[in-house]
Amino acid sequence: MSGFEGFLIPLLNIELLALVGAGVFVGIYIGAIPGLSVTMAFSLLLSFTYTWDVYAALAAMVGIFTGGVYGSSRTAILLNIPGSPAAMATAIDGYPLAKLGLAGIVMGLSTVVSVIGEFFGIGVMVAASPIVSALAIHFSPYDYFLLAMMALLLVGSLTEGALGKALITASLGIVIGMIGMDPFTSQPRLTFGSPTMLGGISFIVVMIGLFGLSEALMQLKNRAQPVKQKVDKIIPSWKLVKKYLPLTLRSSATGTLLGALPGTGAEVASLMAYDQAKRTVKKPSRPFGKGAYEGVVAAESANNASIGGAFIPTLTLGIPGDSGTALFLGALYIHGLRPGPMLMTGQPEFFWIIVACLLLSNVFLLIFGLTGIRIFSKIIEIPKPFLIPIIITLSIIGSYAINNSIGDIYWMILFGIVGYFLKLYRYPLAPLVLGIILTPLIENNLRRGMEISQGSVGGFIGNILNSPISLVLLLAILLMLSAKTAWFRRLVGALRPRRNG
Amino acid sequence: MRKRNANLIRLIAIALIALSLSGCTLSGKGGDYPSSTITGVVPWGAGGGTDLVSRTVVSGAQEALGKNIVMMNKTGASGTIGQQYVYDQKADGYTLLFNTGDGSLYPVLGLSELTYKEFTPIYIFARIAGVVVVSKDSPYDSIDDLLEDAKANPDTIKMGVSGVGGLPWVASIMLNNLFDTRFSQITFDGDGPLITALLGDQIDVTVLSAGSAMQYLQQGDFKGLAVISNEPIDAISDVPALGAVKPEAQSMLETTGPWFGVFVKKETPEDVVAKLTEAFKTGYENEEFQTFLQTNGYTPLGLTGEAAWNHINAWQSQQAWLIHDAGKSQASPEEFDIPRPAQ
Repeated sequence: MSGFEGFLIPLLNIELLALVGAGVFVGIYIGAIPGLSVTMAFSLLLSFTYTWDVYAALAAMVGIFTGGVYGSSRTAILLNIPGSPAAMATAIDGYPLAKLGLAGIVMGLSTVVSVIGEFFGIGVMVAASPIVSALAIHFSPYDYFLLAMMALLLVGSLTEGALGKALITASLGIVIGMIGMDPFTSQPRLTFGSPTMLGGISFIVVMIGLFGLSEALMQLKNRAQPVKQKVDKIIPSWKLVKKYLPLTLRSSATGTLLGALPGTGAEVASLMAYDQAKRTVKKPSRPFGKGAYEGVVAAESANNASIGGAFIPTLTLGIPGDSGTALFLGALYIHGLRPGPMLMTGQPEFFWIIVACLLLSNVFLLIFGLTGIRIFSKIIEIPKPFLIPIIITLSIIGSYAINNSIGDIYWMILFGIVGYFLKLYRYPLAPLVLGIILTPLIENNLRRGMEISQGSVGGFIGNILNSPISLVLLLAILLMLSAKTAWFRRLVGALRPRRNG
Repeated sequence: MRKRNANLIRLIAIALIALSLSGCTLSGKGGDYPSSTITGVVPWGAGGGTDLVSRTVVSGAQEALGKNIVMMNKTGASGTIGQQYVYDQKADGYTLLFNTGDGSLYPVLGLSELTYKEFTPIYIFARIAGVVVVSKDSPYDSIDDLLEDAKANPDTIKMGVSGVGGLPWVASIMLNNLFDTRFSQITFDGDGPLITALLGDQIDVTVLSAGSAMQYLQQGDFKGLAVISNEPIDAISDVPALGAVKPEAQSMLETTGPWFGVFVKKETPEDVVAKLTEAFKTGYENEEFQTFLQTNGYTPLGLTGEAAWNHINAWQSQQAWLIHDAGKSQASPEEFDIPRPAQ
């Protein structure tokens, strides 16, 4: 079968069409529940689709994937509780907008930019798969280390107010990230001899506690009246979309590349894009962190763009781009396929079926995304005595579901209480989760790099300076750091009048 | 308004009570096993090797049992968490453990006291052999090329491994012991990242499970130097078996390679064990499962009862002592009555 015939299969088959649609719909609503991630929905579906035809299974999975990444932004905007870490950056500006009564508008905008971002990612996937995968393969442990260090600089971006407080929570996150087994030698670390701590603490559990439960506790304390939401204008005007189009495309490019790198997924992509926007957009609609449309646009376009990116190494090399595509690969195995370089040359129709399903799911995303908003916006208007128990119940279900573990519920409650006090004393929470996410990336790649340079620090630095990718990343980090110093600003200030004159 | 709310709350309360009561079903007893759904615990991630083997064999086995086996991934800490979970359940045959050889090494690695001594093996399905692979542009064309260079230039050849006790780690230690070589070990997170690293020239050589390596060998991206086994693998028959090239390795290679099996807690009644064994035998012999093993490079084992124990014990003593002699153990295998393998 040729690739083109494969491309047509999902478009012409009503059953597959319906499955993609159903997948997107289910994905949006599962994604919106904190802790019920795309990964989890996948592993559930894996058991169901075992007996299905392989095309049907692909269609349903692609749909869920797309819907799930998008859906997690819903609760981030409405309740300040990201459905998954991929929407953490969305919450920073999305929630303040909801508090202004603009939830409907910002959800409409986020839907449209998500769709644009995903089209961008799919476009890159179709046009440049070989090039991008060749680039991704040449990222060495040094490059991943530098990339993760760059992401750690995001701490500055994720905070309003005192940087010192952000550094404290980030360090706390790094310590929590190290709990469990040493990834290289399997020795227990920071477990205090307790076997339950051997598995470490999942960052999703921490996230649900910090954002979900603590938000419920906070609302108990504040007893603020729900804000009446404006739902008359949900589909954003063409003018608004056009205004943010350059930013959408820029963030989509960032999202696609980070998605394509094996080991970084939607969560790092959206945070990086948010940071990029914060640095480059000079006059945001409102200050960042206080309800800037730009923040939501950057985060949302990047996380959906990362889907197309993640499929690039998955389908061309058989190497998953993130945890979602890793399960996708597993599902292909179960259906008797052997994903990897041979799949592309031997059965190209599968690549094109997936492309077609992605495109379809994106269309469904636009439809379901825009139609559900009116009802969704009402969530925020639910009286607190009903809303708070719902949040707490969902937090418990979500934290249990990740690993079917009662212990995770206790961790979630602990971090919920910790989060409450951190919020009370105005310590930012996002850097804590960021610290947990980045710890393995930084640690493993630093140690791997040291192993390659045979334990020599000189060799480590030498190897960084020798590789073009590492050098570019290093220069970017130095630029990001120096941009914050006084002499850099003086330098820019000194240059500017001359250029004008 | 207030009254309506009160009624609503009452309604919700009743619904919640009804919901919680529906969870209290009577657990089945004795002869009519299985009377309800069985849970299968996989202590490794969904989509990984153990998960795939288990889910594939289960589809045949549950048909034979007449009840569904619901698979659940309880991951973390090298599988200790999932294994502990099954140990904490009742020994009634309603919770199955699908694990690998790692389950017998936890005390030696200092991770947990729990080994298969507390479980009964129902069936051991298959094992998977490792393949020594280098990239297509590598100067090494045979295992001899590689071993000679590793001997002449110790600690310079970068061997990708996946942590202490993993397949590449064990293979490289075995090569070191047998041929007096020394590799510089670079640690990655498993087969996928090792493939990426070899494609991107971050490492010189690695050992992949046959299933993962197959495509890259057939496609010509990698060169296969040797299969870490005494017999070659059908799907990649042009890669020689290490035991054939190096007869001195044969005795060591007999039990090498990660294997996959299903267990129940030790005190499980005999008739339940017999029923499960029969069901998993059907699942194992199922044509679909055999094709799955074949196309993915697994070596079928199909062991049960005493044969299963012999395999587990031989594998355990070999691995445990390799790890201990390399100085990576937390406690000597002797402390746990694991005998040193006969050389």
